[in-house]
Amino acid sequence: MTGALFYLQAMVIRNAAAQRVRRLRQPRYLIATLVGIAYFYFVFFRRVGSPRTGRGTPLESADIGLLVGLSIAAVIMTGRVVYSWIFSADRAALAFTEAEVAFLFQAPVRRRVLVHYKLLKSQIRILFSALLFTVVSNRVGMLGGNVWSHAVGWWILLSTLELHSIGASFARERLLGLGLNPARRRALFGGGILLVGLLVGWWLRRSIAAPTSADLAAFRPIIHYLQSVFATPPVSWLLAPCVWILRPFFAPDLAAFLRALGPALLILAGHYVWVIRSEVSFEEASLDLARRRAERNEARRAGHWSDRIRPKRKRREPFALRPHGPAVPAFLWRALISAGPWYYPRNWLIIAAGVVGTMLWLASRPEYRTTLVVVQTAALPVAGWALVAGPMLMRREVRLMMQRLDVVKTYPLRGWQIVLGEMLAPIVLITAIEWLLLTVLAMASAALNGDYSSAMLFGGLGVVGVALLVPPVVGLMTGIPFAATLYFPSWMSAVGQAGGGVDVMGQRMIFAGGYLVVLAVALLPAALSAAVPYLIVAWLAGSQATALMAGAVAASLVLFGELAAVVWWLGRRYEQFDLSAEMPQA
Amino acid sequence: MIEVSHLIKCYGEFTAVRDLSFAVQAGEVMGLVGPNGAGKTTTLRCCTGVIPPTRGAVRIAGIDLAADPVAAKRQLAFFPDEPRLFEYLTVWQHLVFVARLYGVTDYPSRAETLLAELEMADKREMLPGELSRGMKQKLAIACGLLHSPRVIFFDEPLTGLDPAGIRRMKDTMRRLAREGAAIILSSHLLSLLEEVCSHVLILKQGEKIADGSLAEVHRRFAQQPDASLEDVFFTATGEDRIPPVLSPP
Repeated sequence: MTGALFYLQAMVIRNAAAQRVRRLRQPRYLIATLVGIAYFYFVFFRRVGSPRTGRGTPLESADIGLLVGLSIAAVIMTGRVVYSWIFSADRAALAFTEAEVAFLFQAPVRRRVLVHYKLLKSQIRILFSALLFTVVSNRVGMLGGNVWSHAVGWWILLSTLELHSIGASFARERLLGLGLNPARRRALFGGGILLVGLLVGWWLRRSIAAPTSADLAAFRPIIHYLQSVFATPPVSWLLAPCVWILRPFFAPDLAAFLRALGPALLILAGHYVWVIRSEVSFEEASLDLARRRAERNEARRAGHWSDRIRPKRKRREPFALRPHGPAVPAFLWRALISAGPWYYPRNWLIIAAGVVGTMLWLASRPEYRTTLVVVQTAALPVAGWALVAGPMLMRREVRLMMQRLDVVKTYPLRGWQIVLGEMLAPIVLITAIEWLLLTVLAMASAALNGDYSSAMLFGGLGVVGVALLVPPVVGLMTGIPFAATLYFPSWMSAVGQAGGGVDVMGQRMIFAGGYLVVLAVALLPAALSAAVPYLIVAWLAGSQATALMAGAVAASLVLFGELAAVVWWLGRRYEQFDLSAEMPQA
Repeated sequence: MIEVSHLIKCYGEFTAVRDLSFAVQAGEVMGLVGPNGAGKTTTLRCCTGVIPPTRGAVRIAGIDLAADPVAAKRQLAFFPDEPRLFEYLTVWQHLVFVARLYGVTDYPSRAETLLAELEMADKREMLPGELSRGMKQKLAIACGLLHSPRVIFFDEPLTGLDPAGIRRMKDTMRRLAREGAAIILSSHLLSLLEEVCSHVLILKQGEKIADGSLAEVHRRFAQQPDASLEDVFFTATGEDRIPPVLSPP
């Protein structure tokens, strides 16, 4: 039977690899794979053979920094282990696919064999992760060790965590069977850990003096102080198991590595025995988990990245939709209901009023000047990020539209109406966010400037100028993923899909590059048309603010013109779009 | 009401539908049948304006679908095999949305009537996720019928329905035909077509094999007087080598 499971896994891997290789006959996959390989090479592998970076030298006898690093890693690992006992899901569920559940759970297979199969399968993921992590960690010289100790270290660490996670889920299931429900278990374990924490704290207070200002004055004294904490029992005892697991990774030479390997492998073997010998029924929970994973994957393919697959409650309407009038607002109405009440106009105005009120209050209090500086500094990058990332939401909207294309295509509407309708919600939402951030930026700048009235005037004009540009720019940026989907539908479905592979990574890189190039081309005419009125007004009126406004108005007009052309052009494409021809599998 | 003339649809080198012509009059229900890959779905999609035909013309209630797609689409409704609903819109909000798209100004009374007829009056505030498969199908029907279409297309309308839902769906189709709608019904369920359809169009590999009233097609292809539509279908499509269904033990 084990042979059959090995065969299954081997064939799955072989066929998946063969399918990917066959796909390379299609130029788009070939190009994407080459771009993906280049990405991985330049990001991960380019410096594999080059000298390591990072300060410090590898551990000789007792490099304190390294020891502290080891201890901090052990603290993190201990926290992860504690988390799995208190907060993880309550049932003993092994992650099988729905097909595995359908074939294996009813087959004459012993439960232990299923666990082995699951462990074998997880090793593929662990080995790949260990490889990538090794490439990254091996670059950092101060971590010590070499490529082999890092590879083995990562493998031991990830395998032990995986086994511990499964073992803990089995133990939780057994405790549930003994009548210890999740709430009691959390209380019991949480209380126990709190008690241990208090005892350790009390013990430490007796053993080690509290840190003085000299201890915290610089990096090296802090490291020294931390080292003394970690080396003091009972902290050192509590961290010992995790330190043993991590020690091969940090080993400075072969002898130290071999010495560290024994205890680490012993803990790993202990976990393996623990998992294999746990006689716990995991089938029911695994079945449920397989169903939920399938639903989640399906939802992700549909563009929903939230774990919440279905809405639970009715949402009230953002505004009353009358049965007559242009159809385009109906799309906005529908999209706002999907987006949720936070984005409804009334709620948004309340939020905006609250933000403006808070800014006025901050501006009136000199003691909060630092806060205003932070707000001013943060507003611009946040606005930039929203401007770039927001239109990417359009990919999801377009994917959803594609799924309903059989119905959407029967709407008695022109293509441009459908396109504008689908684009409207992202444009409105992102514009609202951008305008609010611009207002915050202008208010913070004016308050910090001191001369509030002139600063507000100049800042206000600047903000209004930029605000004029925002809707058409967002519209154009939103149009790019829409156009990409209509012109390269099968490519875009791969870009948006969950999961990975070098080719998918490459496709995403190509899309991102194309996005920037198209955006630059779209913005160029606006920039040129803004320059002329700006220079003329600056020369005639001598006012920088007025000149900026004139430039912004001219640029905005050009951008609106471009947006109208894009909507019309996409509408034409939409009307001619033949999903069956573009994506035969659809 | 539905006039299709010399319809051709090609995907690259592959021709999915070859020179197809037929007509469906008001009050008629035409069954569209054929083996897998016969071109049924492609034909339906071309007739509803979902995909453009390569050549040929489709007229819906006298309006050329290619020349004036908006006006033509106002006259039709298409029900795909799987109801495609918006997960965040309630039953009533779906109807409000459709009313705006089609400009149905008197939608509240029409929607109330439809929901009552479909036994969904108590579900108006529910989300699609809270509805059964049959209820979702009913909601899709309510949305499709809100603008009183004169031409209706069904693609495998019984998929996933329980016996009561199947009966209601058949009744709905018969009622719509009585009220003067022209209906095209694509399905593999030949017994359904026998019950509901007045006419039948048999396709094979994109070509029309037979077209006419059930009686005409029966006369042409039936080898025995009591032959069922299934027997007629197998004879017409040249699949009569398939052995008959065994009697129950």
